[in-house]
Amino acid sequence: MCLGTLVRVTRIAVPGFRAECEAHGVKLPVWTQLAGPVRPGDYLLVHAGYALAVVDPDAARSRRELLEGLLAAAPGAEPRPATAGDRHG
Amino acid sequence: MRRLRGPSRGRRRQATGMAEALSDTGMLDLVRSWSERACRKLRRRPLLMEVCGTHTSAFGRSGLRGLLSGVLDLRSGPGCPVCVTPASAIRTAAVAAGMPRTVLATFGDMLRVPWRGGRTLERERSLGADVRVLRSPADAVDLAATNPQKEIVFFAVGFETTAPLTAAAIVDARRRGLRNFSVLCQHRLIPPAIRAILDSGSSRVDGFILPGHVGTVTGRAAFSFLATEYGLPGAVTGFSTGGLLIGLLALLVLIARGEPQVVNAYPEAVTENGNRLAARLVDAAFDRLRARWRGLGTIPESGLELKPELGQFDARAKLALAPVPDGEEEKESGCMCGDVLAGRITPPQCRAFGVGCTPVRPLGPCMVSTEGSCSVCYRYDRHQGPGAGGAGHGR
Repeated sequence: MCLGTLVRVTRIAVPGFRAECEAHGVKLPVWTQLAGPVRPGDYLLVHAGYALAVVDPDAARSRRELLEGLLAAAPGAEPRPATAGDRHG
Repeated sequence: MRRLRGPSRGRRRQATGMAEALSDTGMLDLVRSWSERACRKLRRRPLLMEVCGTHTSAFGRSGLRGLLSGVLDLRSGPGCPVCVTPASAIRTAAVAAGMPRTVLATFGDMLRVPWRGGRTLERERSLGADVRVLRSPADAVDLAATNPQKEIVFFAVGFETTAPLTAAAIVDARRRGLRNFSVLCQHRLIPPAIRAILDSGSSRVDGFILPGHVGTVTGRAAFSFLATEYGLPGAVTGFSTGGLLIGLLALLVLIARGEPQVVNAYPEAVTENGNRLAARLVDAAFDRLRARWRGLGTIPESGLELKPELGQFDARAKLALAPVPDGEEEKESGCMCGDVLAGRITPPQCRAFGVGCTPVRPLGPCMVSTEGSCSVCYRYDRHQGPGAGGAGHGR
């Protein structure tokens, strides 16, 4: 299962280990040792209580870039693979 | 709303149309258009496979499978970890749960998966076994810390998304000096399962919708083999309706153009090389081994087991759990989950679907799990008839 929840960091409880987060008005603790450095205000992808990634909040911009790359590529040319870069250590 | 007329447009008009293209209805038009182009190229509907239970559920909930059924054959592969875990593994977990002073900590979906005689972990709990549903392996570690007189066994089911969590829990248990925490490891890996499906020769898949959150951990690059070894396209895809449409569009463009590439259609959460922290934890905790998958048989290098140096956390060794042989539960009950998981049949093509097997009274895991193909089809697509859930491989 790939079930993941998007949450926002409200407070760092234990640096590098635990953060207090919020999603849809619900507060929840999240373990962050898998996500690298996180800051209040970051959006995290959380699976079974652990953050797996700091999420790029401007998803619309990323998708727009992907769409432009897909539809603008000439036949036979490689579409530019869109990536947010390698963030995680 | 100005209607996009098709995929072949100049750059300036494409840029102007992007705002509309990003709406779900605009994207749906584009997906239909490119599906038709792919149809013309292949001379049949393109056959796409997703290998993620959360995608199975998302496609059902969004209605996209039905909306696109005329131009697209979208099938579910073995992407539900609850569904692919063999009954023998669940029976082993039940044995552990029945031991004195032992607690089995598990994710909720495992509770109702039946084995021979209609037994389930839920039923075992009602008969006195200590089975507890937890949100996270971290909760199992906390349970061990607050119950030093009991052995806490975490039933570790899941794919690449979940394996790092189990590894992190073991690190935490070790850091806290806990001697009463162990893991019954049943983690599986998606790329070997994809290879097994393709190597079986029974598949005619034209492209793969790849699991977004597995991709968060592994990175896009882990799926490159699809293009380089099998000449097939793939799109690592997210889970919102818009995300699904982007993934479908990416795949259909690649199919229509005959370009075998694996693209990242979920860039907000997936990077090229994935979560290296998580990968290091998993490499430090687990070895790969041959593993049995319900419906697919044994696949090399597709499962994880704890490294020997972490033997103190291995529940099988710690509790001397004898291997439980695989039984004939499915044949005896009439469950055809194995055929569904391998894509040989669709859920409605199972003779028990909706008759002897429903979410209230399931015969097998595909109807138990909210992300199982049968459960999703029953809830969202069964009104479409035998073709719902995609046609079987061999038909």
